[in-house]
Amino acid sequence: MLRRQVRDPDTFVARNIGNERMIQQVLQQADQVLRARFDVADAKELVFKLLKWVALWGLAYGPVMGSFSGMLGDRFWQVLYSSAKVPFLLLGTFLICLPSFFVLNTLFGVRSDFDRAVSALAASQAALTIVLCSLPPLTVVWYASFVNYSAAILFNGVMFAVASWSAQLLLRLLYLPLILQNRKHLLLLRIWLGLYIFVAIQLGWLLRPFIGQPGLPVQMFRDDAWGNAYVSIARHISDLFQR
Amino acid sequence: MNDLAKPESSPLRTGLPKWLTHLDRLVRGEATKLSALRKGIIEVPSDGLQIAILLLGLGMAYGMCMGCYSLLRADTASLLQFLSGMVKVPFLFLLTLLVTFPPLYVFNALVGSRLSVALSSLRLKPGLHAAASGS
Repeated sequence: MLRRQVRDPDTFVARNIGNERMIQQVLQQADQVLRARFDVADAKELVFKLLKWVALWGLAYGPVMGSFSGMLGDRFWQVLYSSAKVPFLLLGTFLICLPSFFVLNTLFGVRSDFDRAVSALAASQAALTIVLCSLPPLTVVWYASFVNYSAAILFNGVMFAVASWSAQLLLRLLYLPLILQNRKHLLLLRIWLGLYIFVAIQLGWLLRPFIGQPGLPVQMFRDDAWGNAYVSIARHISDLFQR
Repeated sequence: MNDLAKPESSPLRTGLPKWLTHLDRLVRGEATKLSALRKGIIEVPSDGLQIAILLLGLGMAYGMCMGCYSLLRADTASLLQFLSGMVKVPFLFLLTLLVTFPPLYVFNALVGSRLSVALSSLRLKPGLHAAASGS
């Protein structure tokens, strides 16, 4: 392939320019989302576009997350699984929470603002994913510095928390006009956040492993996947006090 | 990044090589004045190559000084240690930049800063533009 490119330098240059333009466009789109520079006139189109970006950018953090135990041999499958599962976790949580949020908006009498609310939520999802995409270098440094599996889980949890907290900045900015228009949106936003965290923790538990424990075989899902994250957390806390 | 504005004439800089003048302006903060930053520019040469090479050289120079320790020990003198010190210092700074720049850029964009280095640094090189338009 390289030989062909050298034989045909014009094609090679044009392809390079195409790649650079594509990277530039992707970065510009990410920049526009983070700076809240998008047109909310057509909410439906915007939401689809934002969710498509979540799916694409979500692919970037997973491979790094799943590379804790290495990337060679069978372990490469863990990298691919994690790559697929991160966008699934983010989009899945969003889509599971959306119908309940729609019903709540209707009950509170603010259904007319629902398209704007969903645009803001989709934008915050996109921002969360972009922030997450900027963190893999830190994760690589952590993996290179510490070999403890529990510490790796904790570190990735912190990275997700940082990305979620950062996305809140954008969400609050976009939700402000709605809240100023009707105070009920503030309560609905808090309900959304509670619901989102609840679902995200349980979905993350069902989709585990994301990191891949060294010594255990590579699996898409754990054999005992259908458990309850909250029961497990309670059991861990209970064990901690009984010792 | 814009083309370099002409360095201010200073009697101290008369006769200095061009690269040293650029370095002097950077160290004195003249290249990163508030007025220039507000316009979204940093007054360094347009391609930045000269400054990059200069910074690489300075990093290597400090690495050599660090590596001198291993050269000056009569019993364990090691030229390789000296050379690896020379190579590793610029790498240390470069890798630190690679690790910290993406989150810095993203968080700056989130809080509304006008930092746009990542996008401007991806501008196509004039040579590639010319070749593409000619092809």
